[in-house]
Amino acid sequence: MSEEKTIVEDINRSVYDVIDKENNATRLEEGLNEDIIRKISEEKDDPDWMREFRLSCLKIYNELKVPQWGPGIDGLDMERISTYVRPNTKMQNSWDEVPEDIKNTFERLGIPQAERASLAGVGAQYDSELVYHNVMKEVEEQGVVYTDFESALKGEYSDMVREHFMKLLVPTDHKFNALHGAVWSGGSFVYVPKGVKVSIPLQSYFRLNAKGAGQFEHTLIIVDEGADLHFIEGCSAPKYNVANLHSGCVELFVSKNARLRYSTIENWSKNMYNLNSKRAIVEENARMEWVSGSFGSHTSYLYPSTILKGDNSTMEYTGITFAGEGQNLDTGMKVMHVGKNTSSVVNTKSIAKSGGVSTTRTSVQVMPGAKGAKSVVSCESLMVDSISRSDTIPVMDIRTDDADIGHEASIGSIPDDAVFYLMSRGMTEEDARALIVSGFADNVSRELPMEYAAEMNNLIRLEMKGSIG
Amino acid sequence: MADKIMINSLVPPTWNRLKVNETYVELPASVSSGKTDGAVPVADASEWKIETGCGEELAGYLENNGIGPVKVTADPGELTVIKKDYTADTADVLCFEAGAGETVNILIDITSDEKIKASAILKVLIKAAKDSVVNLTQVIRPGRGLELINDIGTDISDKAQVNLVQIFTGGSIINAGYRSGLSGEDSFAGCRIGFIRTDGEKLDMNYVMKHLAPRSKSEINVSGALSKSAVKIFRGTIDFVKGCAGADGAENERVLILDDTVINKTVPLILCTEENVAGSHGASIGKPAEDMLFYMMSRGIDREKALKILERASLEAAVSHIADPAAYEYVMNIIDENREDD
Repeated sequence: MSEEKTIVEDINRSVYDVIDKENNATRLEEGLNEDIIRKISEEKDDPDWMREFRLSCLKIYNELKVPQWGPGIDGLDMERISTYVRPNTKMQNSWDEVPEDIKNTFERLGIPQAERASLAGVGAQYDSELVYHNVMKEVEEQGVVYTDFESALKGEYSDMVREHFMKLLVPTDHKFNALHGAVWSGGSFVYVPKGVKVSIPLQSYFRLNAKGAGQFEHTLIIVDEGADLHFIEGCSAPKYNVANLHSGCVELFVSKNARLRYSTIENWSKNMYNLNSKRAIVEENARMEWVSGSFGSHTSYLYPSTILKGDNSTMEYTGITFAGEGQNLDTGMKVMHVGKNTSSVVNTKSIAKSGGVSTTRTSVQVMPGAKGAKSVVSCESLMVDSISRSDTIPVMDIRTDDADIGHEASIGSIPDDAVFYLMSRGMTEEDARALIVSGFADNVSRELPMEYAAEMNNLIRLEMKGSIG
Repeated sequence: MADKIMINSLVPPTWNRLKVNETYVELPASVSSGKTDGAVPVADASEWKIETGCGEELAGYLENNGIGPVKVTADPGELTVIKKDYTADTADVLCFEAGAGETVNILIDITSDEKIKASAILKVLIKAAKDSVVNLTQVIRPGRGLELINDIGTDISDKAQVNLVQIFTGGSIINAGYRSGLSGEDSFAGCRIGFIRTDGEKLDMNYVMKHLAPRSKSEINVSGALSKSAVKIFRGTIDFVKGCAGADGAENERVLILDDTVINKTVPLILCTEENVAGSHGASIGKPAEDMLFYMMSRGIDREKALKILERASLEAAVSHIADPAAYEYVMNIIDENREDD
C-alpha cells in the first residue's frame, strides 16, 4: 500500500524521535520547592500576584495526594524532573530568526509548512518557552488576539488574564492542577472579539526536547459573543530512557452564541507522563466541540471537561485513543449539564494493541434544574490482540426528571471475515488490519482538517506495523 | 458498638467526587443467625468460599459473628419457597446446589413489619453443576424500618445457567450485591431486576459478571422508577478475563425519573483482557415519554394513574422472565395485591 503524502511528509517515527543537542539558556535544578518556584517567577518576571499564586499552588500541591483511581505513576519522580528549561533564544515572529536547530525540528514536524498552507496563526513552544509566534495580518485586523501567555499576562490584556487564569481549573481540583499553577510556563492566550468568525484555524505546537524535563504550558481562550474559532493543538517529544512530564492546562470560555472547536493530536514520546487538564465553560446558545486523538505518551490522564452553563448550550466530543506497547492511556471526557435544554453528544473510540492498556473514563452529570437536558454517549473499543487491556468506565449521575440520557458501549475484535475479504482483494493481512482500524477511527479523522486526518491515519498505520501474530 | 464496613466496591475505581467507588454501611456489633426450614450447616465451609458482589468485608463480618453457611436442599423440578420475615438484627448464608443436569427453582420472599427497626443480611451462594439450571427469584419488599444487605455469589460450570429475577420495593436502605463466576464453558448468567424506589428509599447495587471460560454469556437487565428523593446507584461490571474467548456480555438499564428530587447514578463497566469477545452496554434514563402518557390519558386514565402503571411496568419487565410458572404466579399476585392497594 502506498504511503500518503501529508503535511508531515512521509511521516515516520524518526521524525518525532530526533533529539536536538540541548542548548539551554537556563535549566533549573530538578525537584520542586519554594526556591525553584521563586526562580521560575524571577526568570519570567512575574507580577507580584502571580508569584504569590505560584507559591500558594505549591502549598496545595504538597497537601494533595496523588490520585489513586487511575494508572500508576510511580515512575514519575518530581525530584528528577526539571520544571523549567529556557531555550537559548527569544520568541520570534519570523521562522528565519528561530535558531537553526530548533527551526529544523519544527520543519521536520511540518509546522511552518502547515502555517503557510492552512493556518491563520501559529505558536511554537520549545521546552518551557515559546520560540515562535505569528498571526495572519487579516486575522489581527479583525481584532483577534493570539499571543504568547507571558505577553498577555503583562500587556494590554493583563486584567482579562488575571480574571480568567485558573478560574476554571482551580488548583485545588487535583494535585497536578496545583503543580501546574506553581510551575506553569509558556502557552497561548487567544481572544476572539464579539461577532468575529475566524475562518481558518489557529495552531499551537508543543515540543519538549530536554531530557528529564517537564512542560507546563497554559492555554487560555476566550471566544466572545457570537464569535467562532477553531484551535488546533499538537505535541511531540523525542524518546528518552527517563521520565518526562507534561502537565498543561487549557481553559476555554465560550460566550453566548459563540462556537469553539478545540482539536488535539497528541503524540508524545513513550517515556512521557501526560497529566493534562482541559475545561470549557459554555454560555447560552453557545457550542463547544472537542476533537481529540491520543497516540503517544507512556501514561496519560486526559479528560476534557465541559460545563454547559447556559441555556441551550451544546457540546460534542469526538475522540480516539490508541494504546500500544508499554502505554497506559486513561482518557475520556466529562460533561456537566447545568442550563436548560442543553445537549451533549460524545463519541469515543479506543484501540489496544501489543500489551497496551486503554481506559475510557467518562462522566455525564445532569444537575437539578437542567430541564430538557439531552446526552448521548457512545464508547467503542477494539481489542487487536489478547495481551492488551481495554476498559470502559462510564458514570451517569442524573438529578432531574426532564432529561433524556442515552449511553452505549461496546467492545470487540477485528472481524476475521473483513480481514479475509480485504486479503482476497490482494491486501496483505497487516494492511488489511490497518485499514480496518483506520476505518474504525474514521469518525475522528472526518472531524479534522485534511492534513491532520492524514497524519492521524499514518500514525495508526505506524502503530499497526507488526500487529500480526 | 456498630461496625462500619465497606461494600459494593467498584473495581477499578473512578473519580472520587462522583461518590460511586464504594459504599460504607454501619452494621450492628452482633447479629443472630436466621432460621430457614430444612437448612443444615454445611460440612466444609471452605467449599462454599464463593465471591459475592458486596465483597470481602461483609464476608469477614459474618465470619466474625459466627454466621456460617447453611445448605438448603431444593428438589429439582419443584419450587422451593423461602420466606424471610425479619423481626430483629439477623444474618443468613444460604447455600443452594444444582446437580448435573438438574433444574432447580427457588423463590425467596423478604418481608418485615412496618414497625420493625432492624438490620438484616441475606447472603445466597449458588453452585450450578454441568448442564444444570438454577432459577432464583427474589421478592424484596420489607417494611421501611429494615435496612437490608442482599448479597449473592454463584459458581457456574460448563453449560450451566443461573437465572436471577429480583424485585425491589420497600425497605429504607437496600444494598444489593451479585457476582457470577462464569467458570464453565458455555455457561450463562442472567439478571433481570425491577425496582420502585420512592420516599427517600435507597437502593445501592453492585453486579459483576466475571467471564472466566470460553463462550460464557451474561446479561444484566435493570428497569425501574424513582421518585420523591429516592436514590439509586447501579454498578454493573462485565469482566472478560483472558482465556474467555467467544464470551458475550450485555447490560441494559432503563430508569424512569418521575421528579426533580431523585438521584440516579449508573456505572456500567466493561473490562477486557481477551480479544475475541463481545461486550455491550445500553442505558436509557429520563422521564416517561409524553406521547405515551398522552395516549393513556386519552383513554381516560389520569396522569397519576398512568405514571403508576408505568412504574409497575418496570417491575413486570423483570417478572416476565421468571421461568417457573408457580414462581411467576406468586410474584404477580404480590404485584396485583399492591395494585389493588393503590
